[in-house]
Amino acid sequence: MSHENMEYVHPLPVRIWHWVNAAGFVLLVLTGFQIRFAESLGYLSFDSAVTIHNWVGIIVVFDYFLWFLYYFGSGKIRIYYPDLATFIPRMIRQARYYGYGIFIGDENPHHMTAENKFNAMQQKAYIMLMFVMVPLQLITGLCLLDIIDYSDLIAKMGGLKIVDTIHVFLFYFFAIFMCVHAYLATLGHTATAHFIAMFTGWEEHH
Amino acid sequence: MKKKSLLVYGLSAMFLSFALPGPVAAVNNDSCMECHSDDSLERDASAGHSASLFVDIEQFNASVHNFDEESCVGCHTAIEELDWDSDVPHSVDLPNPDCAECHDETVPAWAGSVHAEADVSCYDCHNYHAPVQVAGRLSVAMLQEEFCSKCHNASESHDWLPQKEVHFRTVQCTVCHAPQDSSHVQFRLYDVTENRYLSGNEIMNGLQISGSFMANFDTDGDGVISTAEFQDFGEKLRERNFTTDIRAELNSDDGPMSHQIVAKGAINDCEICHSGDSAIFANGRLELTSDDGEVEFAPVDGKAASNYYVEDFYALSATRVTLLDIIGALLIIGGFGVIILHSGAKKFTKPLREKRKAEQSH
Repeated sequence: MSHENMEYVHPLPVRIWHWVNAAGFVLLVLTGFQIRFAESLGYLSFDSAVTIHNWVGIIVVFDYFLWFLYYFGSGKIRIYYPDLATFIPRMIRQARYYGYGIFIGDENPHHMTAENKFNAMQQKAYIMLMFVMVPLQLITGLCLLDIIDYSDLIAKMGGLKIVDTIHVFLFYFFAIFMCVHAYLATLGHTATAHFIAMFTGWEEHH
Repeated sequence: MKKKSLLVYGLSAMFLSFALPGPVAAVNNDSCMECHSDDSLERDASAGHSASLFVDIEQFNASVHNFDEESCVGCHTAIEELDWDSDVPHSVDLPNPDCAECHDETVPAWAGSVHAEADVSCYDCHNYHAPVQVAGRLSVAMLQEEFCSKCHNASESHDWLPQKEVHFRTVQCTVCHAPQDSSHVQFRLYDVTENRYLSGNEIMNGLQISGSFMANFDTDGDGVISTAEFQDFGEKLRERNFTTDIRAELNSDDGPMSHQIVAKGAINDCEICHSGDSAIFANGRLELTSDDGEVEFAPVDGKAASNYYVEDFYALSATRVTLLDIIGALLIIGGFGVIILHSGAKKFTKPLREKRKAEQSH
């Protein structure tokens, strides 16, 4: 395989984290719907859905630590930090591309490299996801895993109903986020290019 | 003189006949307590042991039997009269009271229970001189302490149950172990500063409302506090700065069949409760017990347990918040809408891109 136009942008720990997380989130969403709408859905029994949801949730918590340790340990976490001086114009340019330029055949204004992996919209989305939404989902999920052991933390967050509300709201968000994320991943130079790259680690430049 | 003596003797006899208990006297609780208030009163029991015959009248007065105006001889029916001339004014060989005389549906239900099989009698669970009012007056934790946990260590036998301690705190044992009895959601107001449940009067006085609870909050007059009416109740509590939690638990209806306790055949299908159409969450009661201990309830839609004022109760699936699902549905519809519109626009504009590509290659 020639790597002439290729760049290695997804190191192995990132790919492992990404796919474990993706499979985990798919299972969490499927079991989550079964738990929430037990009387309407029947693809799993309630107790199986709860058991799978709990174990997968624990795996996803450990997986988050893999992401955390790799990115902070290697210093690569800076790819998530937006350059504040250029962030707003870059974001407008990126939004204009997805909303208009992509239809008329403009070139993507962002060129992915290992050091500059995310476009401005991705940076904005992923910094919120990885620093706020995913941790909040994992913390509320852990609280709900054992509401007696975590009763103090639950009380600090406003009680069981509030913790559950946060968890369910983020559950709906992640359910649709994964679909939009998968759709956006088809917008590379071919529909499968980004998917393949997320397995091999190599992205092709065009 | 003789006449006078006869009169004196006659009057004295009449006086004494009233002042001293005679061989036949009305048997009321006071006459029983003449002897049974003595805490050293005992009888010989088997194997050289003795059994106390002391009855704590204060405990009895607080019991459900006293509330129901039952007397000592209401249960000890073999005592029809007291003979104060005897050392013991009644037979010492009395049969045990027959609870079925009054509890004619409960005892047959018990007869089909695992307790009957194991020879566990009424008295083994119910303090025979002070049976407590169960319905409404005790939380699930108190009920466990008062009854089941005296013999059973539930924690050892429920390892299969996810979050078993949460279930033990909020689900009365009989909800699952007496499946023939129906169940409901029990709402109570718990004063977090004084660590106790509030009585009906305390709730009404605190809310500064007059008239009955239902007259104030059942605004549509259908006899049940709906989820919307429950929200009004929660708002009123907040307005009045109540330092209370609205607590919810799952309780048996405590009908006769609540005594048909089973081991095998207990509910272990999670979806009986954890389901949006669970019958257990169809009915609820708000406890408004009066200060003298009389239990009163306001009927409440069990779905009110999903209200945010019941902040520490949540049963997966059963008490989900519909508004949250509407928001979730809008998020999902919006997300798919964007995908469909964007991919549709890409397909629609494909000729534009192909044309531009062709122009660039020339």
